[in-house]
Amino acid sequence: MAALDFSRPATRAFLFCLGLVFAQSSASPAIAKEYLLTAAKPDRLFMMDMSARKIVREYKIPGPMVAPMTFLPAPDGKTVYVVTNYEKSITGIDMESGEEVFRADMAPEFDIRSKNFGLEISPDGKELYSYDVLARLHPDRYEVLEPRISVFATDGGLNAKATRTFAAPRRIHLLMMSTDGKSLYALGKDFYTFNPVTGELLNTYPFLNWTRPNMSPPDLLNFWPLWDQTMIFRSLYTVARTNLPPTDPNAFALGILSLDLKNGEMGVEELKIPPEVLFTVVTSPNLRDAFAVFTNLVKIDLESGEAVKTVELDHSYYIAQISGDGNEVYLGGTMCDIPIYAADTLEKVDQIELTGCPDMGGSPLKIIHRD
Amino acid sequence: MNHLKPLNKKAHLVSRALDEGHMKEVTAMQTVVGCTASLDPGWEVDPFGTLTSLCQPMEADLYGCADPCWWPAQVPDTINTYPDWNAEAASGQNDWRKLEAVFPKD
Repeated sequence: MAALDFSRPATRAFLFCLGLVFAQSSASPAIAKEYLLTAAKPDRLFMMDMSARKIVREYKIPGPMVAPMTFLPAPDGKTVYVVTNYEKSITGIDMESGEEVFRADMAPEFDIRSKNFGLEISPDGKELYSYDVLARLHPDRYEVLEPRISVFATDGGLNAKATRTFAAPRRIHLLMMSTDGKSLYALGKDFYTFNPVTGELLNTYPFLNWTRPNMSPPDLLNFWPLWDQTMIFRSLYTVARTNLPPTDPNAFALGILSLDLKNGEMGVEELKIPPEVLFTVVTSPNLRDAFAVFTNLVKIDLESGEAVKTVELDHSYYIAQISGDGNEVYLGGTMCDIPIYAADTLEKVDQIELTGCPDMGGSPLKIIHRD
Repeated sequence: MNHLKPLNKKAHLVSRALDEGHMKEVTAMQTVVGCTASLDPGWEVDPFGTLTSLCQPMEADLYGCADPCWWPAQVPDTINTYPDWNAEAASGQNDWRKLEAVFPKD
């Protein structure tokens, strides 16, 4: 590259413009603030400022519904998509006005019932992906139809139609998109990778069908999208060592299934902690710790696979979420309280109770960032 | 299976699959896909055959399981026939008295 000649007017003009760019950068809008979202019965959506320990906004989810479960904020935090109408429709709520700005029926045909399990959005926020479980209702029986993934344009308005659909295996319950938007992952019996544009099944990572010696097929239940802070999905599974008698203390093990949404790396690894039922695990932004929850809250050292600390909880919770700085762990799902635990000591430091104490049930905790 | 006796048509099919060596093709549904689609012990026993890993208390688990039809036998079918069974009881721990038995309609 040629050296800059500072005596030349063109160079001085270039440097002046560069200075303007830097000046504009330093005067950029305030850093977006972190909020926690959850939904609760019968039709409530809550936005919380966890640093202020308060609910800052409540929304009524367009129904009909009695039990919100699956919801998904857009990447810009301006819209939240919620599965409604008894899991047959998707509604989009403008987070500023609270108005419904998107609505799609997953199966508009009068004789077909569709149940959603899995919702994801493209990184640019332009497309929604819904896993639909379909059945045709006959007068005397249900006819099970092939499941599919439906794609909706988020600017489709209040009568959005699927822009395309593609076939997907049965028993999927969680969709997740790579950060580059080129791979759509679907977790079910195995871990599938689709091309989100063509619907082509690109890869099947064997999970239930793994062929690991002396290991039973794993058992896993997970429909909670909890990778907000790290873009790393992790899920716990239970496995039996078939070469040991069931009475052996080492006969059962807990493991972690991982998918890094940034680079597509998948893996499984058994932990060195006594098996117990733990519903979800969230990875700390420090990438060293993970926090798993059900009736206990367990801090796991991902390097050693050992439990650093375990505390008993007031009651069972389905979900652990974590703050952006990694200092606080939030628990949710089941009832109406969201306790806050210090990530380093696992001491309970505070809690938020949802207005009127409605149950969250299976609703997730999601992080959004808004100005 | 020596101590189990099939009573209905589906159970007979499972029993026959066992006799004919097709049992490996029958896999319990791992994931929730609607009413009557999951095999789950519900409130009775945890995956290790004990009670210690069940949700505590049961009310905490009620809607997380009932609303997605995870417990099709223990509570009314909230997907197909009684979608509003718990519409007036937003809190399992506080409103359980409002949860009533359901009966087939004429």
